[in-house]
Amino acid sequence: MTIHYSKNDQFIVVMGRTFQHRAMFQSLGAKFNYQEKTWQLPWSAEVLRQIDAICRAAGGGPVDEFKAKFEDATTASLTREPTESSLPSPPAVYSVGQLAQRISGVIEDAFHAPIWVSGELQNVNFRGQNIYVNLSEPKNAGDSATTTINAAIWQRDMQLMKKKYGEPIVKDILQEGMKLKMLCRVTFYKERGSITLSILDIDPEFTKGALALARQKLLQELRQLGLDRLNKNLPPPLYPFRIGLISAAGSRAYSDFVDQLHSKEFPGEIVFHQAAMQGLDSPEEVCKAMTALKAAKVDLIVITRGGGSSADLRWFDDPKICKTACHLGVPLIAAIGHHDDISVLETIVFQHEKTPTAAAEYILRLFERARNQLSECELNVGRHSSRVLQNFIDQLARRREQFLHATRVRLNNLQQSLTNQSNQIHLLALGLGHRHLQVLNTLEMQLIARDPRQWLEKGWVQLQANGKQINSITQLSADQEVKAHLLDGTASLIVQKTERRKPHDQTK
Amino acid sequence: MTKQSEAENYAHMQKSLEKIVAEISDPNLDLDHLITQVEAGYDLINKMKMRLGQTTKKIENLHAEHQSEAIR
Repeated sequence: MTIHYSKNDQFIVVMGRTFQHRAMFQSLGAKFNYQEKTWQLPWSAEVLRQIDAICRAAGGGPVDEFKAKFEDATTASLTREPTESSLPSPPAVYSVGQLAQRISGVIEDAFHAPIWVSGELQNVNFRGQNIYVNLSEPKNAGDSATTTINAAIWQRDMQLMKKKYGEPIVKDILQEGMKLKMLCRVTFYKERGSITLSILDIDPEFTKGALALARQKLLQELRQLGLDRLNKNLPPPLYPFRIGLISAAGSRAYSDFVDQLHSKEFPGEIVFHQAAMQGLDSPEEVCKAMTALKAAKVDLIVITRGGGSSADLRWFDDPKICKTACHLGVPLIAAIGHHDDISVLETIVFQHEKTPTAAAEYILRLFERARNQLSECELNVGRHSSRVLQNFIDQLARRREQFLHATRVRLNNLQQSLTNQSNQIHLLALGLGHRHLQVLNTLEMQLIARDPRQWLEKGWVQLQANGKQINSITQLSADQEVKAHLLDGTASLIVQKTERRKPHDQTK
Repeated sequence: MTKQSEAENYAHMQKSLEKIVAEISDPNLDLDHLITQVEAGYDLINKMKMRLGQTTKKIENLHAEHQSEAIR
């Protein structure tokens, strides 16, 4: 049922079994930190008094007093409230020991409780079960000069942190170059006159946030410059026969990638360029490798690494690597691990895969896709050819029909014309024959009319005198000799007398 | 086509017939000559009628033949 509190210049933090007092804390303006299960109250003398009373009533009190009961005498001394009477009066001349004691006293008074410190880890050094680091901060942005303080994580605190956050997270965070927010106790070692921060706790969210913020800032910059989609928008190589591979020499990632490609009978070649996948040299080496592989005219470049902590991803948030990737002009595949966080490089590259094997599979899929496209083209060409051929056949059949029809029409016309002409000839010929017949009939009638036999047979004779036809009595005279022509002979006759018929008789 | 003699030529025959008709129109023509000419005229008329008949038949045949070709 104990409740403890700690305080600094700004806040009072209450921890322990606080549930039944939550209404009181809220009335004092407290906010509950769900992650740390603590209440945070704004510092004021009145609030401190009330909180102190609540904690003591519950059997607790200031956390420093609580720790003092269980920690060694050195640590316990830190929990003492500074009082004027506890400080020795300053001597006229300090001996080294006195000065160290004085500094120790001042520091203990100023930092009697642990404080949160933010800084960057440098020179991380594992010695035995303890970790020694330098905490640093650039004096000015972009300035190489830094302020550095020694710090250490003792075995016991490390175990507590691992238990609290899990070993992987702690390992990820406690790495070179990481920005951390640490709960530190300031300790002055009088023997060597140096200050060391004992790191009691860390705030993983701060580190994650810092990394995320840096990523966000870089991404925003790339977007503003219009660089973020340059690599992503490159056309995929149809047949990536020449693959550039960037990885650490002899790494598992290298063998996984190469083995996967070779197991699927990859028909191309792999041009390898080694580079550190983590550490300070990583950005420089990766950029150099990308440039070299581009010069080697590879179809695409795979950047891959095997396992590794998610914190190592931060090397791929490096502006130099990312900007080089943007301007590279060669499709990049990043396969640098499967973590919840995605590095900036993975965000901007042409393709992002989690593992080297997956990257190899992606390349093989490119080949498969190309093969499918070719097959489809082949089918289309076949289909199109058949269609074109069928069109030609249909067209030819239509032309043939048209030709036959036109020929038939032409022949019919010619035949009709011939028939007409034939009929005309027929009619003309018949008409001509008819006319000839008419002429002939006329001639025949004339011939018949002049044929003397018909009336000679009836007894009529033809008279002639002196070679002339006698057709009037006036042409005759008595004793005149005339010839009478009969059908079968001629008789010579002498005219005895002539007698002219009276006109009356003639009319009869 | 066999070449016809001039005597068998229809036009020639017609001219001959016309000549005969003209000749026998002379009233002073000798009766015997007249009869000879009339007989010659009838002979020509028969020949010419036969030729006309043959020609008509040939035309009909040719026409019929052409019609059957056209139908085929």
